[in-house]
Amino acid sequence: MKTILSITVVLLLAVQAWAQDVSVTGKVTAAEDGINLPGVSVVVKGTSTGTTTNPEGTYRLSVPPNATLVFSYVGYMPQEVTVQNRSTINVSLSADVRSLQEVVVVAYGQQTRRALTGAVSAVNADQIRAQQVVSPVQALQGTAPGVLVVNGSGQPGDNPAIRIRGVGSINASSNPLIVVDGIPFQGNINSINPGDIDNISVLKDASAAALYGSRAANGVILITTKMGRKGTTEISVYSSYGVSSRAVKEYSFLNTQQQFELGWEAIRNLAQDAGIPQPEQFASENLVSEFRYNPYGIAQPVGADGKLVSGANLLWNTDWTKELTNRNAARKEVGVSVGGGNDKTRYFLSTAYLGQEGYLITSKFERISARMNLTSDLKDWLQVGLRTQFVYADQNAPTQGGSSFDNVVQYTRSMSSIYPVYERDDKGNLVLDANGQPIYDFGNPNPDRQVNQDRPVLTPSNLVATTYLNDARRERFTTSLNGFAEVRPLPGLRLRSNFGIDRYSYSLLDYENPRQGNGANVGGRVTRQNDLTTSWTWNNMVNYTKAFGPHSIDLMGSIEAYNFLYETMSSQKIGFPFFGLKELSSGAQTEFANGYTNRERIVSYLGRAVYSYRDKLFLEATVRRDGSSRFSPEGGRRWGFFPSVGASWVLSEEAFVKPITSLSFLKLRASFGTLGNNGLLTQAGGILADNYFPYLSLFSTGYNDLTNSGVYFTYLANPQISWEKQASLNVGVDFGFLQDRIRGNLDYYVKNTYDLLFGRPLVPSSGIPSVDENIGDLRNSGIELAVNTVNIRGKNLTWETGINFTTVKNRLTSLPQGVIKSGEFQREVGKSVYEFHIPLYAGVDPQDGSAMWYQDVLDASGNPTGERTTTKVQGDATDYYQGTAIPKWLGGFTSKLTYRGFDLSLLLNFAGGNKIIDYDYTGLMHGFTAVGYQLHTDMLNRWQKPGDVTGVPRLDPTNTDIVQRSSNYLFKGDYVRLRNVTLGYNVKVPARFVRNFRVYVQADNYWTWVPGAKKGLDPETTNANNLPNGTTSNTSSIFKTLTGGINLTF
Amino acid sequence: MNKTIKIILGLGLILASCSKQYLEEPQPTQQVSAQQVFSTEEGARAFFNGIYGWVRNQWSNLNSTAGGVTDTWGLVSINLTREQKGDDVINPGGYYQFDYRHENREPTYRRVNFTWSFFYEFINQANILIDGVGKSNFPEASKKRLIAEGRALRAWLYFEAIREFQHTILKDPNAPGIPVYTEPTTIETGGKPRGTIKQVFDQINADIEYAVANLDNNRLLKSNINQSVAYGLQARIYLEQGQWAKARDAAVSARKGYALHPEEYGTGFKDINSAEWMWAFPNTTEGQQTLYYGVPSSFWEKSGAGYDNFYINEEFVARFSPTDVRNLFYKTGQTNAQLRFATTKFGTTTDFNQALPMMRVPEMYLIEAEARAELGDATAGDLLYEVQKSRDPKAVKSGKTGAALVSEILLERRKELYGELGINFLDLKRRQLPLVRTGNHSAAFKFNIPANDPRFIMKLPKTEIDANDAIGPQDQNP
Repeated sequence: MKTILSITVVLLLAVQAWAQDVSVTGKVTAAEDGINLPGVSVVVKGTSTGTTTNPEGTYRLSVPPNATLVFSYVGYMPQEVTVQNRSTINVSLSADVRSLQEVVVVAYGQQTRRALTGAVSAVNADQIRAQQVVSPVQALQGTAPGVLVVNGSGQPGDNPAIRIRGVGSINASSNPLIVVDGIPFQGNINSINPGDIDNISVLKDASAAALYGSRAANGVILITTKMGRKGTTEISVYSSYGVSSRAVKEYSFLNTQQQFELGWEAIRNLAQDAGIPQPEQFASENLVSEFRYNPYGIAQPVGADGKLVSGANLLWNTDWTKELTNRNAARKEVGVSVGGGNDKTRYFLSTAYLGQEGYLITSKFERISARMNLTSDLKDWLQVGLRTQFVYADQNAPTQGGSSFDNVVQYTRSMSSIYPVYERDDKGNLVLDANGQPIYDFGNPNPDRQVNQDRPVLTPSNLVATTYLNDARRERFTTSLNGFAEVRPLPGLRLRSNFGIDRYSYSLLDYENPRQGNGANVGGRVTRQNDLTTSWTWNNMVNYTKAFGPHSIDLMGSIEAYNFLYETMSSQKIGFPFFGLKELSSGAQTEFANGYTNRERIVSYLGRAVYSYRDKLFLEATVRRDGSSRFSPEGGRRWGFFPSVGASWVLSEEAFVKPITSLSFLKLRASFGTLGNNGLLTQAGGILADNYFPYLSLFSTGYNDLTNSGVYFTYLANPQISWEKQASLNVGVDFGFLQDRIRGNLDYYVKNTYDLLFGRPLVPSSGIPSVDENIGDLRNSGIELAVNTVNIRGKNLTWETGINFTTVKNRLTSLPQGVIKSGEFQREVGKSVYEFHIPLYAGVDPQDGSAMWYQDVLDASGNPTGERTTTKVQGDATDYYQGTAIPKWLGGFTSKLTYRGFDLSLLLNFAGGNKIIDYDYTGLMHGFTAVGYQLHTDMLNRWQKPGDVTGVPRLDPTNTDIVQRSSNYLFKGDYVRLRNVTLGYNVKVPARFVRNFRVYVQADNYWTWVPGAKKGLDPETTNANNLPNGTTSNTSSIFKTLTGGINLTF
Repeated sequence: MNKTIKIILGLGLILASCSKQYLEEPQPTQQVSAQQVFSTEEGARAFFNGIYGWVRNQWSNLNSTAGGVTDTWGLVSINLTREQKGDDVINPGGYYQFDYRHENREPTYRRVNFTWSFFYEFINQANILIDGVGKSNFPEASKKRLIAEGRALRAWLYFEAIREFQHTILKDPNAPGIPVYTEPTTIETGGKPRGTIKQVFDQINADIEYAVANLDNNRLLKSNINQSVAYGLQARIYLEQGQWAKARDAAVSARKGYALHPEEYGTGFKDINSAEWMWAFPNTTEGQQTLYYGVPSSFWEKSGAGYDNFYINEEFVARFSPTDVRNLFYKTGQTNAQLRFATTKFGTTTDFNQALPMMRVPEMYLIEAEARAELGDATAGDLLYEVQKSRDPKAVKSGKTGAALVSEILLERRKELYGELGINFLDLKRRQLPLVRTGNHSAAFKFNIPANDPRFIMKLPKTEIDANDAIGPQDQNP
């Protein structure tokens, strides 16, 4: 603290010596045709002070009298002009495709791309708007190199999992920090209208991210919202309509006849094994009583030959997927924004509506957003600004993951076509109620019926009946207020105070109606939960920039406080007097009433120093010291120090490079630093949640025995626990060839996570499964390449393409013990964090049809000899390493073609090198160990007689080995997805006030290629905690959308 | 300018001095420390409440790697699993069928992980409690009383656990047992070896002896172990070990103050206030207990409101006379032979308020009868007849003695206690008898499992063998 203060004092004293700024105005035009250039960046050289030109191409900037101004604009050569006490400087720029002078939003400020020493990917508004996303971070997929985006859910409004340059943690959070307009955002990111976003910067290495200290290790996503430009007012109106459905086709299921014939075979096999005489006859007689339902209506639909008897006709044939899917889910979007300003004030106002239905019935998301951004120069030394948003979002999210009966996706993959939607009598006729209406069949036993009752699948339930009547509503209201005041008392000196608060309310309503389903025998059930999250950050910053001849410095020092408060209350009641009552007051009996508060605070001191020499050599150092309420105040564990250094050198400015004319730009970059991860998590009831007090051993309250209040020991802590640390190294080169028609960058990164938070397993018999400790190290390393080319640049025709490619090598470098087994994964030094370690399938014994797995041969002392044999008992199979769940490579490809008024663009993204264990497919290969459940058509290949060579074993309803975890359910996760294709046309409107009118059609996610997996698997898969760990659990998956729309600008 | 410096300096100083306090303000809001729990006797009692409440609740272990599935979700799952493994219950499919098939015992199966983790988590909680009370400032008398209850709980947990993972001690007392922990687990705790069955029972015996000597009969709820319940546990524990005289004495002490109440049959086994019930866990919809897994009735009833997949063997049904109050069986009318009979012992529909019976008076009579029969006591038959007569006014005393009498007592235990604790399965193990299924079981599951077959016990979880240095693959059950 003292150091920071003295630095501040010294700075303040030093700056008194320098003179006052002068105000410079001017106009920027294009050299070729003299057209005014709006949006040109005007920056004082060697600093981050600057502005952009308004739509008339003019600018106004307050600068030191001897400053050099750098004018830069995408597609034009930058130009430097010394001010020399002039007050008007007009500039004309000549065309170029150099874009390295563009201003990039970085941690606590902006820098020119040229000055960057770290790895930052910037995504602009056009790229964000090009995709029909609900959550803005979905737009990073394929567009930001090194960023893995996994859309694990098809529920509109659910956010994807994001991993930047590999998986940096195991038991702590691997999610990046999201910062909106400088304030860490704790609401739901789906509340931000993508149309309001000007740009997103992804900070990937230490030099870029270390200023976020203990929250930076997983990378930082900076979202900056739009601001109007000085000059004319721009009004934009946009509207679109689309239709969505599941992006990949569903698994293929057996039909009723196949179910019956294979079911017959399964029973015959069972009877054979049990030594029952005439097993064929036995199977024919008992088949219907196993299924309990008989859609053929005749006593023995399958004869003793195992074939459906001739003339057997289906009385019903239910396609449950069809019943529970909305194949014309609508997407509607409309928005208006106004941006503009004058010399003193700039503003951006926007309001928008988005309605997106999911492909499962009743699934939807609606968002109404309003934003007001305002910046005003009250004096030439005082600027104030405010960024605010109010967003309401209403989501209905029927259960679509996990093993609850209510999971719609699981339902469609469980209920075979044998089972009717409506009740059927013994003969198979519809049963009607007193009003002559059919009655939904919940599969209940019915003593009055011999058949078509007591369903063996998910009884009692009927999601067609209940999903429409029930609610799974989540309403969110986000208010963000973010204001700042900046004082410039002296040239180059800026004092800035920025306070931002987000207040996010979440309101849940789960309604189980009293007529049908779970709520029926309790008179209806209502669950309501209200969460209020309040988070604020207050930052006070001093900035000083100064140029001395060829040298310039840029210093920043800051003090920051962060406060997080989460309050929740929930209650559940049953016993509602009438249908449709959903308020808690109407319920008779309370099932639970809960509530609690979580708090977290961080105090930080941070600083940055940048030195540049002739705008070609840049040195940068940052420090941050964080104090966090999450860690023990004892032993100095509460405070952490996170420094970084970076350097870059623009080689193309050097005499020995300049003669190479084809090389238009060349820059070397290197950075090193330390980052932290304070996102320690805890498991509670299968849900990963933040662990706010990981250093305290605690008893939880609320473990009551009826009216006697109780406590229970729930957390054994290691008081030494601290944040995870990451040493991050990045070296890179930025290049441009042929006057930057080819430009790109190549980076090599190594991120060593140490003090890795690990649940060190205790022995299960100790009664505590594991203790969280900082043990273990892991490393993510790889290269990142991005190349953008202008292939054709003609008067009417332009064609640009971009490709980015990232490799990720994830491996553990140190562990507390030799190996740690965790479900389908095993952790071992040298292997990845999610390395599959499961039995290896050895196929089917052609003689008896048994499934086989490999097993290590052991020597006398129980150690593997290295030889393998096979076993027919799955429990005896040895687990082997079989690849990682983390993609080893990922990237994207973009192409944009314009011809006269037309534009055609596409975006592909790809990832691979990983494996996915498809438990959803496993469930479809149960081989009648779960009678009546859906089966995959692969079951038709089952072993039937000695000599059959197949991978699918003999049907044996008593042997559940077939559904155990094994390599035959492990698939390659490589995929390519056509994220987006858009065809647009700029209509020439004679009306003077219409500046631009564009119509377009676009297709999102219309093509997915997953060559290594079963049809039906979506390669973007996450588990119940939204962790992309290569497992499936009957979740919904990403949808495709066909949209048409217009954009109008006045 | 000086002003600015002063402001910045002042701001900085305020922040620096405040930051310590600012960071210390957040504290847990819904959790408490051990210090708080053991600062008062009420705190220790709250810990007991927590254990009693959680043992019958929607349990999963502390990192959700065990439990949390419909058939592995607390004490009710332990009891219902055992019900599946005998001759009297038929499971045609659905939850618990793999237990019914005697397949659910492999080291990676959720049944095995659940059973192991469940008992050991509560054993550790009991150890924390005993240790915390021991180190507290409570008066000596209070300490003894609380520790006695903690040790009774621990004796019960080890007694239940050892019977899942080993055969009876009478088969081979020196066969491998299960690890015994008597201290709270800390971050330094390592794995204990299996030891022998005898060592496990030495701990169980020591705990239950201490408990009966220091407990009284005061309690907040019938879920709590009081002196009568401790005696009842002691009776079971000694019966298991063939220590007939001790079992007899404990059973007599246990039922002091209790009597048989046949009229409670027929109203459904659900009321925790039933006079015959000595120990039971309550369920109420008020305690989140509105999930079907948590009440036995949802498996036994056939109204369609629950899982409804437990049926009764017709041969077992035939053993009840028409005048027996326990004859609560009825024909379902279903064509599938396995589904022929069901029972209304637990009511006719799912009742979320159904309590879990854990110990009832007639069991104490029958323990005493069996012990006396083994001791050659001529009054053994009278005790059996007392139960029989209470259940069936037309009951006739058989007059059997010796082994025949013991067999009759075992059958009476099945008839009296079926559906509750898995008595059929536990008695087969205890008396080292084979499981011979007859009647209308499906042909595939009409087992003839020899006495002391490995299928009567579970294997140890693979996770335990992987993590415990004192237990290797060679220590695994066959």
